[in-house]
Amino acid sequence: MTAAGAATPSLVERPRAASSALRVALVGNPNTGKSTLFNALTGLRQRVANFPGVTVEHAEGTYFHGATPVSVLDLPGTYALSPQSPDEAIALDVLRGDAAGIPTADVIVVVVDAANLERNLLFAAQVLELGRPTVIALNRMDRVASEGTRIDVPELIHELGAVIVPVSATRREGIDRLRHAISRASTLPAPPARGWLRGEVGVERGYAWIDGVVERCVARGAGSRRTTSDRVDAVLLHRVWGPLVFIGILLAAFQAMFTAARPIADGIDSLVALGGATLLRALPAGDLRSLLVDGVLAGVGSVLVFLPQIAILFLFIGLLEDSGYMARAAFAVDRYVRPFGLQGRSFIPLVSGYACAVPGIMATRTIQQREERLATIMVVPLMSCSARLPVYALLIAAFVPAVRVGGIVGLQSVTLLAMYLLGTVAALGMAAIFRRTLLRSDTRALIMELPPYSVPSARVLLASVWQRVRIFLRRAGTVILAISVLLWALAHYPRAESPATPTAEQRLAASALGRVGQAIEPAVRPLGYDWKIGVSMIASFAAREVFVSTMGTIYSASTDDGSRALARRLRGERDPRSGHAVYTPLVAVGLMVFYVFALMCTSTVAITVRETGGGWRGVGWAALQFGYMLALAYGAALLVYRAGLALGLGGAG
Amino acid sequence: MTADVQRWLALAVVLGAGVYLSWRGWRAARVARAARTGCGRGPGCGCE
Repeated sequence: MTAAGAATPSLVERPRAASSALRVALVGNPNTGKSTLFNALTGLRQRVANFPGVTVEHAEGTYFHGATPVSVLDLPGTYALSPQSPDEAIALDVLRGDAAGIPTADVIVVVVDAANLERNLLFAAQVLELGRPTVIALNRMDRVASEGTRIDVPELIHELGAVIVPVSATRREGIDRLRHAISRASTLPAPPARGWLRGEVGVERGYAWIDGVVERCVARGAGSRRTTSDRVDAVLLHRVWGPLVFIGILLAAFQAMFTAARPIADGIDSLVALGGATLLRALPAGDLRSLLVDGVLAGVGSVLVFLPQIAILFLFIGLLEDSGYMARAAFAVDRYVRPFGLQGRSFIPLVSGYACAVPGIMATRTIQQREERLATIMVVPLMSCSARLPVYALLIAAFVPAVRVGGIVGLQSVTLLAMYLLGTVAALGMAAIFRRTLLRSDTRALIMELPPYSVPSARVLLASVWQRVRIFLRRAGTVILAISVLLWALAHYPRAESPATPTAEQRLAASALGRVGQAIEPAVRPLGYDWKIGVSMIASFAAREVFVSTMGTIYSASTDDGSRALARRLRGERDPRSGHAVYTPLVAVGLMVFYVFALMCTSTVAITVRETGGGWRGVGWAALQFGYMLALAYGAALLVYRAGLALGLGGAG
Repeated sequence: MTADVQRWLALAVVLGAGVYLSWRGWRAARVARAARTGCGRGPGCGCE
C-alpha cells in the first residue's frame, strides 16, 4: 500500500470567500462506512432532515477547512446510478444537481470500501462519468492492511483518473488529507467521461474493466483475521445459540435501561421537582403559576425523565449495527421467521423498529419482492419503538416491584422484555396472516453480505446517540410542550361553579377535558380504565409519549399536592365513587398491552402512505395498518383485563 | 403579579401554543399531501 499522493501537487489552491460554504455530497454503496466517515469529517456539527417533500432522510454537517466552511451532505447508500428505489433516485438527483431545494454540490466524495473493491468500483466509476469534481475516499484501509492485502493506490489513481485518498474512518486516519483533497477538488478539471458505462451493456463492460483494475492494483493477503471472525460467526449464526444470544443482548439492554439510567433519571426528576418548588415560591397563586407548574413542568418533565433510557436504547442499537452484529442477527433468525412468510432481510427493518418505525419502514427498501416488503411495512410498527418506552417505563416503575428473578435479572427488565417480545411475536403472527391472505407469494432465499466485525468507534456512537437525544429534546420542547399547555387549559376551563370552593378533582371533572373524558368513558370502561386514562390515550394519538405528559398534566391538576412523582400519584389514585384503586397491576399490564399494539404515531402513518406507493393506494394501506393495529390493541387489552378478572388477579385493588 | 395579569399571561401562552400546533398541523398536512401525490412543492403548485 502506498500513501496516496492525494491530489495533483502542481495545483494552485484558489481560496474561497469565507462566507460561501463549499458544498460536498458524500455518496457510496451501503456498508462502506459512509456514515462513519461523515461523522469523522463533521464531528457533532450535523443535523438530520428530510429532503424537501419526501421522507428520505439525510444528514448534513459542517466543518471548517482553514477559514472555509465546508458543508457535507450524507446521501442515502446507493448501489448504482440507475435508480431502483426512491432513496437511490434522490441520491442521483442530488449528484446531478436536479434535486429541488438542494443546491448543487461543488465536490462529490465517493466512499469506497477498500476491502470490497470489486463491488464498489462500478459505482465510483459511474459517479466519475458525471464529469463533476470528485474525490474517492478509499475507506477501511486499516482492515485491508491487517489482512495483509496491498493496494497500489498510485496505480489505482492512474486507472481511474481521479483523486483517491486512503482513509480509515473508524481510526480517523487520513481525514485531514481527505479534507485537503476536498478543498482542492473543486479547482481541478473534471475527470473525462468515458461514456461506456451507461445501460445494461455498460454495466457488464464495467465489471470486466473492474476485474482488470483489481488484478493490476490489488495483491491479496492471507486474511488471517477471517478465522477469528468465522469462529465468532459459528456461535452467532448458530440455529440455537444465535437467537439466544440475541435475546440475551436485548435483556442486557433492558436491564441497563432500569439500572444504569436510574441515577440520571432521578437527577432529572429532582431538577423538575426543584423547578416546580422554585416557581411555587417565586409566583403568587394564579393561572400563570398553575400553567407553568401543572402544565409545562408536569407535562414536559414527566417525559424528560425517560431521556436516559432512550439514550441507552440508541446506544445499544448503535453498538449492534456498528459492530456488524445486526446482519448476523438477521441470519440467525432467518430460519425462524421463514414460516411467517418473511426472511432474514425483513428482520433488519423489524429490529430498526425497536428504535423507531419510520427508519424501520424505510429500511424495507432493501426487500425486493413487493409482497414481502408490504407485509414487513404493515408489521414494523408492532415492534416496540422508543416512544413506547416512556409509557412502559412509567407503568412498570409504578406497578412492577423492583425485585430480582433468580437473584440475577430484575423483574422490571423481564417485564419490559416481555412487552418487546409480545410486539415481536405479534409482528410475526400478523406477517403470517398478511402473507397467507392479501400478500401471497413465495419467500425467497436470503442472500446477503455479512459486513466484517469491527470495534465501534465511541465517537461515532456518541454522535448518533446525541443526534437522537437532540430529536427527543426538540420534540419535548416543541410539540409536547405545546400539547401540555393546551391540555392544561382544557383541564382548567371552564371553572367549576359549584361548590364555592371545589376540590381539585371537582375542578377537573367540570373542565372541558373532564367532560370529554366522561363522554368517552363508556368506550374505555370495559378495559378497566377511567376517563383520565381515556383522555390520555386520545391525546397520544398524535405521539405515544404524549400519553405520559398528559397523565402528568391531568394528575397534577387533579391533586392539590403537586410534589409527588407521577408513578407514585398513579399508585395512590382512587376512584371517587368506589374508593378502589384506579390502577392495579392488571390495569397497568392491560394498558401496556394496548400500547404494544396500537399505532399512535402520525409520522408512521405518513411514511406508510409514501412507502406503499403513495396516492390513494398508499392511504388505503395506511388505513388498514392503523385499523388492524387499533382493533388488535383494543381486543388484546380487553382480553387481558377480562381474563385477569376471571382468574381473580384483582381488578378492584 | 396580580391574578388578572397571570390570567392574561396564561391566555397568551395558551394562544401561542394553539397557533404553534396549528402551524405544525398545516405542515404535517402538506407533507401528507406530498406523500400522497409525490410532489414536494407544496399546495397550489398545480401538479394535480
